[in-house]
Amino acid sequence: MLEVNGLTKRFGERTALDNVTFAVGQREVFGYLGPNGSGKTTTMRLLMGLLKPTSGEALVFGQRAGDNVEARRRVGILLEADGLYPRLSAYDNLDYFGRLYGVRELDTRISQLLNFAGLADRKNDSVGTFSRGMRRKLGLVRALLHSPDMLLLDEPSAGLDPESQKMVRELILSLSEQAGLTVFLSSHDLDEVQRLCGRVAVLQRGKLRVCDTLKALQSPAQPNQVELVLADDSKSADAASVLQGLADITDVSVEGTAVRVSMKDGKGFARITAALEDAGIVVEEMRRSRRSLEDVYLDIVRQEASHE
Amino acid sequence: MSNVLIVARKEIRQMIGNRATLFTGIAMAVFFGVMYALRIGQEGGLPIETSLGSLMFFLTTTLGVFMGYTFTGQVFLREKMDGVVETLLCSPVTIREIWLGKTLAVTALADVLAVACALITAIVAGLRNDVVTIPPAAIFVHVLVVVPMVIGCFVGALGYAQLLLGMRENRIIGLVLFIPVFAGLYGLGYAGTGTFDASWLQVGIVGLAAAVVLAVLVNLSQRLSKERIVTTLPE
Repeated sequence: MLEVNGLTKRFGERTALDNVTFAVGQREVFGYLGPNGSGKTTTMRLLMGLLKPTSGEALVFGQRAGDNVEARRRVGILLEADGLYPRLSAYDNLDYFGRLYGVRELDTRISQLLNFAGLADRKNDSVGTFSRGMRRKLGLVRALLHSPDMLLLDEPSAGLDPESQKMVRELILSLSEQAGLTVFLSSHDLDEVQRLCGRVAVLQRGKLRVCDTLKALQSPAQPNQVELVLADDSKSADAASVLQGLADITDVSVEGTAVRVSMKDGKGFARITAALEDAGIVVEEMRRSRRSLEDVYLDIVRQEASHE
Repeated sequence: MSNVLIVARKEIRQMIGNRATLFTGIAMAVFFGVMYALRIGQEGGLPIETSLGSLMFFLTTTLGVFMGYTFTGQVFLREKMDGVVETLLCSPVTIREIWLGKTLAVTALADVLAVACALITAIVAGLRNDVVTIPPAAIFVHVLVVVPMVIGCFVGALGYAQLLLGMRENRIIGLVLFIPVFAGLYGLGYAGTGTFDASWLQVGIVGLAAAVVLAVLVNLSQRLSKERIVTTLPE
């Protein structure tokens, strides 16, 4: 569906993107992460043919989107700017793009989507009077108007209230699972990416640092580490001192209300709960410690920063 | 409907929706039409029809170009400032269709105002001189065929530049162009009244020159670069 092979883009002396390679398959929700200025927007522009690569290629449905109108017709895009005319009404904005994309039964389609997004009562208001969140929602509606096969989204939930964020997340998931849509999601919202994406790429200073499944990226750094959730949060410190006295425990740390315990091997976890119960501390939950996407992301970004 | 017409339709709706600009355009058409018409018949020499023809030759052209100048910024530059052009370039429309649609829309609206100005001039001149004044046939052709071509040349070239240049360069161009365009509107109307017998030859020369420039611009529009547009968007 989407292929990026050895993609490099230079602006004069500055390298915005350096030999980036990845592919995104059908129905996949692919997260594209990176700090500001890392090359995310440049990648999206190259994918849509707004920029010409210095070397390598970016293909959408096997075609260079810049040269191929039909490939562009199959993609819905929401960039950082919402892509809406502030002086036109919501309806006129959608009508314009709908006509350009050749949407059939446009009026019905616009009404359906505006109802879905909760913007039907504002359809005749000029977009300039909309809040940031409303514009974002309308931008997403515009991207979906022509029922695309692929969505390229740049921070789709930016500026949305929690309810609308949830709506957008559910919409993206249902479009991917039920309609078979491929979603390329560029975002800073790690929580959103963690909830939506099966695979993630992290870009830094134009270089692809990592590209893997979320599961692989979040796999524990230490397989013999568990995280304990106590029934009484205030006993975390007591629990830590009890556990430090046990044999085979290599490390105990308290992080917020959770207690993280590392052992020499993965066989003695039953002794942990027993020891804590003997001390009158009830363990509500014990789970294998997985790194959050935030940990993974910050590790990668900091690691690279320390190398440079 | 072709993409060019879809773009043109949207631009016309957007320009008409901007009441301040539209009102200014109508007010200018009325003001200049009446002001110059009142001078017809005051000078001796040429007959009223010739004076009116001479005035229409210059006034419709310069007013049309001035209106084109005013609307072009709203249509080409505003889209870059709002960042919508980037999304538009991702849609199944070519850059040439965008340029043509916008040029067509601005030209159409500017031309309507120029023709309205010509009509006002003819009516006021007729009422003032108590005669039904009909300008020569060459002037009709000039107003209805050549003037839109001249406006199209100006709008097309300015729009082309606005798409390709950065915001700073565009501001400089806007300022640099305003003076000669406005001076032309003001000065040529005076200079033209009663002193110039517009003939088929002159109309033909202007028309031919405009056709050549338009052909060059249409050809050049194929070379508009998306990269250039995107890299000159404001941060």
